[in-house]
Amino acid sequence: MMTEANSKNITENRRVFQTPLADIYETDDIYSVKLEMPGVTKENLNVIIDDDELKITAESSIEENESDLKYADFYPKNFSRTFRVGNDIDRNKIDAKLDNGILTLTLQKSEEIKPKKITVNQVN
Amino acid sequence: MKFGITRKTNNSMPELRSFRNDVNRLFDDFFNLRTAGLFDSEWLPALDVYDDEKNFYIKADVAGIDEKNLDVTINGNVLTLSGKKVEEKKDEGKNYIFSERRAGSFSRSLTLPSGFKQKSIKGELKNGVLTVTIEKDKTVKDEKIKIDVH
Amino acid sequence: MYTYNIFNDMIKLRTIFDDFFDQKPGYEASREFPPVQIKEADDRITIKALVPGISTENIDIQLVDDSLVISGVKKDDYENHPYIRKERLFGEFKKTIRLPYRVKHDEIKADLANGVLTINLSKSEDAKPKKIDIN
Repeated sequence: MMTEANSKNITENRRVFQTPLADIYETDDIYSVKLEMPGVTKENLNVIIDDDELKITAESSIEENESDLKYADFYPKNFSRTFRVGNDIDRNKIDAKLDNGILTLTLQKSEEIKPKKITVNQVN
Repeated sequence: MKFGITRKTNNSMPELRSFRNDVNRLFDDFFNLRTAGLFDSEWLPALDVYDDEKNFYIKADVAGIDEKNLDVTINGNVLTLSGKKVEEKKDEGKNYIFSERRAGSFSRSLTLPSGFKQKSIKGELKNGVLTVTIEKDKTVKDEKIKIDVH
Repeated sequence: MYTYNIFNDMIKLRTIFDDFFDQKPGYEASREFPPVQIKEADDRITIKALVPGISTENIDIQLVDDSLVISGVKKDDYENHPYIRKERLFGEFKKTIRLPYRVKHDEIKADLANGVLTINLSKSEDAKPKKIDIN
């Protein structure tokens, strides 16, 4: 199960946060989350799972220097997004890969969610 | 998927409270059972749900049902008890003054709180009472894990 | 002086600014993808474009007269599985940036890192600021 959660982050930096765009799909075995975060490097990226929240925060590595800026479609902002995850994932098996500004998170579904039949022992 | 503000539950016994709420809801919203249709069940066994330090327990009155006609399954957090009470042949010669005992199939589901060990679930049928025992999982699940990015 | 806008295939009249001493002729870029930033130093112009997930072989950079054209395709990495969320946009793109200075066509440098394309253009000699002596 994956849903959006309101981010409770307080801005430590002067910059405001932007929300990276996400594509999420699921298979029988995994959830795949792809986030667009141009200008983010591994050193400036934080991915943690805290209780049932998967939190992604990152700083942009694009310089903020505005003195010689002549035109801008964008301003460098930090990224933040939080997802709520259910019991159906294995918290110790989350893979995170950053490539060319795209963060790909692969969440393994845990064995436990598959339906199981319980044997009933008849005593008399 | 759900949007909107998600309230963090108060951390004092959240699981047991939500478990009790689920069970209460089962009894209150009689026609809104999460199961595959109340209307599929011709009768419902009475349930007792309780816990102690170690386990959760569910007791169901299922007199007249053999183990082979009983099913207990766990699917994620949802425990489903279902079964079939085989109808006794009504004797031709007997004169029925009162016929209250029902037969047929039933199905009841409960959502268990997340702190349980799935592999520990046991079912025992004795004297017409099915007891399902579920061991609690005390390990703290809410540790923060930092994920390495490669 | 005429400016040719590739998108509309129309010829656009470039106006002369009234407040000649306050304003330099500005940059113009279409609102479309990719988002860009333009910085200017005495001897060069630096353009940054946000192109996450696009590889170099899918990006084309050209200098057409005094406009920089960034074009290419952002390929959809769609997988055949049920999607819970699909927010990212894909497709072909073409962006024209009208430069107010002449640049040296043989001195363009482009780098792609972390989903950011950085293009460095050198201003032509006559575009650089020069001190003029007054007799």
